[in-house]
Order: sequence, then structure tokens, then C-alpha cells
Amino acid sequence: MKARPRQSERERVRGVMRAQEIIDLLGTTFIKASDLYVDLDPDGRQLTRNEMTKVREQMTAITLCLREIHSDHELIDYLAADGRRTGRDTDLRPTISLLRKAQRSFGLALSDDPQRRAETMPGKEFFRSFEPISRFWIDL
Amino acid sequence: MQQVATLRAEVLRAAVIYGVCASLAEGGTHADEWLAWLEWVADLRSTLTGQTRSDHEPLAFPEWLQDLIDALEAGAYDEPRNLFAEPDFRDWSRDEFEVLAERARPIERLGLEPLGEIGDQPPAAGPRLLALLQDSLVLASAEDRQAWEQRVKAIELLEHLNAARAAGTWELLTR
Repeated sequence: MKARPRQSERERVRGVMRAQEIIDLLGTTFIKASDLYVDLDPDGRQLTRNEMTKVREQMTAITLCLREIHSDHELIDYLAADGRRTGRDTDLRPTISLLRKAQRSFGLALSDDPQRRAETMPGKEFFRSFEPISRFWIDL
Repeated sequence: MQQVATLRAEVLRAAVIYGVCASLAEGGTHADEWLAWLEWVADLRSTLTGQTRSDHEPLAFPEWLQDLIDALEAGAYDEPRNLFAEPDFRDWSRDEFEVLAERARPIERLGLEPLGEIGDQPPAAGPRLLALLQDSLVLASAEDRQAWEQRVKAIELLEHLNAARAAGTWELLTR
């Protein structure tokens, strides 16, 4: 008869499965958000109706993703520390940080107020953060 | 850093207004939770002077929310309000998100994480509260019902606020 896995083993397996879910969700969200950001290259202009629809959809997708992983911060910190220990980069926090910046900037790009729109993160600034993170996702 | 202090004040103000409104809508007005929100209101009204936007009194409530509170105090508020059908709440959420984003940008430009570098104990209490509030303001202004349902409940937000206060995250606010 096969022995039942111990509690700690079950927790480990659950942690691994959850980590994989987080990685899949973050990766997909990051790629879609980056595609739109680079394509949009917000510069403070009033967006077209079509652009606004896309930005709203993407902003909601980013937000739902971040909300979904909000309570997983311990696991995310653990992954980062584990990666440092084993010499593999498994730190998801830079991706989360860039998604937060994109979320804020999408919100500003949608504003009716031109002064607020002018505060949107320019495409160049986005790209500076995007480059190392995209390499991380390719390596992963 | 003045920009960080201003952002913290905005986060607190928006969190308390959102929490009071969510608590009203969730029908928790006779519970300890409601009293805790009123305590936060009183605390902030006495500490936020001069630190919020110049077009706001310290923790002045938006008119639509003040109307709800007045109705509650007059005993004329007898059932939770459906905030999803409340355009004022949606507009307010959208505007507050823009304010927070605008305040965060100068800090982002310096390569810093907004609210992440103030010596918080534990370090993440400030950023986590900001994140929770940002997400909820986006979702509260969404027209999609399923997205809307994912916004934070008043009690969860209250727990985060209390945790941030217990961690000393906001003590600089009163200096």
C-alpha cells in the first residue's frame, strides 16, 4: 500500500503548483500588456475611442492578475530567495513592479485631464524596464 | 521626501473614503467594523491638515458620500446601497486612481517603488496597501460586473490599514 504523503510534502506540492499558476498568469499578462504599451507609445495625447477600449481592457486584465496574486507575496518572496540560493533567476517581483507602473500609466493615459495624461510613462521609459524583464521571461 | 508624504496622505484619505463607502454598501454599519472606520475618519481628520490636495478640506467626504452618512445618522438609511449602480462612486474611484497614479509618477521616475522606501516594518505594509487600493479603485470603476466583484471588501481593507498603522508605516504623517 502506498504511504500517504505527509502534510509538509502536500504543502510543498501545493506551493509548486501555485507558483506555476502565478508564473503562467504573470507571463501571459506581462506579454499582452507590453505589446499594447509598446504599440500605444503613450505621449500625453488624447487616445482614440479604439485605443481607449484596448487600454481599459488591458488595465482590467492587469488589475485582475495583480489582485489574484495579492495574497501570494510570501510565495513570491520565497521564489526570489530560492532563485538566489540555487543560482537561477526566479524573481517575479520586477515583472509585478512593471505591471504596476503600466497599470498606473494606462490610468493616466485614459484621463480627461491633459496634465494627468502628460504624466504617463513614455514608451522609452517603459522599454528600459521591459528589456531586462523580457530576457528573464525568455530564460525562464 | 515630500512626494512620498503626499502620496501617503492621498492613499490614506482614499482608503478611508473607499472603506467607509464599502462598509455602508455592505451593510456593516452597526458592527465593530463601522466603528473602526469612524475612528479612522476621526484620526485622519486630525492629522491630515495641509497634506492633501489644496482643493480638499482635510478628509472632506465627497458630497454623495456625505449624503449617505447624513441619511444614516438621521435614521433614514435602512438598506445597503448598490454601489455598482452608483455612477458617483465609479467616477470618484476613477478620479482617485488617477490622483494616486499622478502622485506616484515622480517617485517612479526616480527609480523608486512608491511607498517602498520609508523604513516600514514590515517593509511591505505601505506598498501592499497602495497596491490593494489601486486595484480596488480600478475595479470599482469597471463596468464589467465580474471585474467589479473582485474589488476589496471593507473588512479586508481595514485589516490592511490597521496592519500598516501597527507597523508604524504612517507615523511620519503626523510629524
